[in-house]
Amino acid sequence: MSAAPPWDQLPEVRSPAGRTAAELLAQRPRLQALPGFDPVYSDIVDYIVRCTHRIWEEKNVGLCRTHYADSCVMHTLNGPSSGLEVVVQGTLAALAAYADRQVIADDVIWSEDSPGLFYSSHRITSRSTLEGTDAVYGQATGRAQMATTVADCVVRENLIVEEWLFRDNARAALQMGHAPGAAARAQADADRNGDPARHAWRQAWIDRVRGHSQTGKTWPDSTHPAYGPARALHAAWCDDLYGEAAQQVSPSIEVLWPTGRSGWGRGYWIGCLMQLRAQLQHFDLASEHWAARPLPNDEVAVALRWSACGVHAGPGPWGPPTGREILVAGSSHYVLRQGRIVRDQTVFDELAVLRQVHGGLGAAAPAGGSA
Amino acid sequence: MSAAAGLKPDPMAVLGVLLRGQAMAGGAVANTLRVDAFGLATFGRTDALDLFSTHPLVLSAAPHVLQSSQALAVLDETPDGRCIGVFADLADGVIARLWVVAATAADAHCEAAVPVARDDFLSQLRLPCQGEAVDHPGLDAAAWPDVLALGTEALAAAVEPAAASSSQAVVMRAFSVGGPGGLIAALVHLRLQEHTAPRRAHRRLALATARRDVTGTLVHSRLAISDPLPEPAPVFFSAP
Repeated sequence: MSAAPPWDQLPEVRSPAGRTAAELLAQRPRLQALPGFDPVYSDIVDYIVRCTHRIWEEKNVGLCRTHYADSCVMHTLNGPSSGLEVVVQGTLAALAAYADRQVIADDVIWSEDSPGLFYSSHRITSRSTLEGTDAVYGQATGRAQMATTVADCVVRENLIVEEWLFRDNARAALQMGHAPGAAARAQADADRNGDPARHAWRQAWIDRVRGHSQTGKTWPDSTHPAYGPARALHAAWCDDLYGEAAQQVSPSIEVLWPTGRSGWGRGYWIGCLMQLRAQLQHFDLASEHWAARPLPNDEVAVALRWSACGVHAGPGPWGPPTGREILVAGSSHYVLRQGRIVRDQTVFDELAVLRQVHGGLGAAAPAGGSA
Repeated sequence: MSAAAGLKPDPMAVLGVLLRGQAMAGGAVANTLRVDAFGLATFGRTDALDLFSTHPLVLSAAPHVLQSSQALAVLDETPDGRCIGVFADLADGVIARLWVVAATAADAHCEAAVPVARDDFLSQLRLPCQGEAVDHPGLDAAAWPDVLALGTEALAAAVEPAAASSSQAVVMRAFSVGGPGGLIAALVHLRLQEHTAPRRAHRRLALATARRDVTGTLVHSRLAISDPLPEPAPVFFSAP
């Protein structure tokens, strides 16, 4: 990433934060070199916001075929999927169940990692009502979801070539009237049937985190705005120095974490981090990608994609310790003011974590363990 | 950006229309507008309009207004004499975030949440009001002690019965207009530990404004405090 342009290049390519819907959807002349992109897009933020609008809200699902590469890979904590038609079919199924989905672009934090190769971290809050049939949540209940997703995409020449999708699925389950623990247990029961090799991706991901963590190769440059948040996360989760980590954080921090966790202040921020870490021993963390962009009022947005793993050995909201090795992957979007974190909105799929806790996704019981 | 902001309507006019649940043509309201009002929370412009169309708030003819380029604070009085407040974050003249400090609605609720154990103080030397001036660049730094005093005053006004040493105010937003002898506004989150066993806490919002004289002395202040906000039902994943 050392050859990449500076994080604050092209300030005229603005975040969607604080902009009106009319302004976001207005056609604009091109503001940024986008080789191979459709002429309709003015910049990479516009590409992300507008193509999402065209596909999901205007229902032009077929545009996926000109916006995803044939071989695109989508990573989630429920497992990877690959191929363009999987994206098309998944989008159709979602819209057939939740036709009124509003895909509100909360922020798009991007970097140009090499000329013409973009990375965008798109925070979305989607509002949708179940008026069709959902494979998990049943038929036309009229219940609404309002869950937050972060979609991290690698984009080249108008095509998304790789994507990491983090969704607050436990919150969505609650909004749909389902108990996340029971839903995860049912998924785990199903996972134990069939060929276990289909879950090999999870161990490979854990191995990457373990190896990555040991070599410690990847770290933001100290001049990059992501350096402070990455240091804070590392100080908390790897060094267990929560008070020191909180020095990067404003006493007035606003914290939004999965499954409804919401609060103000350093104590609450520490509480969220410690709650996760206390459940996982032999903990490793890998910072996998970061980007930063200017926000209005001299604030800075930072996106940090991370993966972590550890042995479920401590009590906590996930239930009694199982001894299973658990993978957690997510994206933290920070707002910095004067270099300090004033907002931490972290998204990971806690339902997929619970699925592993219950022995799904290939999370084996420890040798000699009872779980 | 400032040129574009100049074309936008006055945020106070947009706010008044929004609070009545109406969309102003060309109204400068962010698509990502997040609202906390009456014990209800919404995200997105359309849900905000829905909230205020079912819970309209009509301001009086002459509310007390403080406005900077980044924030708008309004204190007003209801017909029955209660002081209420509205605080908006502005981004290039657009209303980007909104809090209403008032009574909670009959249908107030919040989503279930995983409970998080917390220590608000991180020390036995407990500060009743947390915050640092550096986090509020729109504030005259010399006014910071007054902001802390307003937060502490809000905490004292809201605590009942007293468990003051375990309750805390956090300054969410603060700004000033007019320099020395000017006005300050502070939006404060209150977490109030009740003197009960087992222990319970509840949350409120407060909005305070004050005038300072040229020596920096507070000469007049106003305070709105919300009703207790709804508490989330706890989520326990391990429950049967």
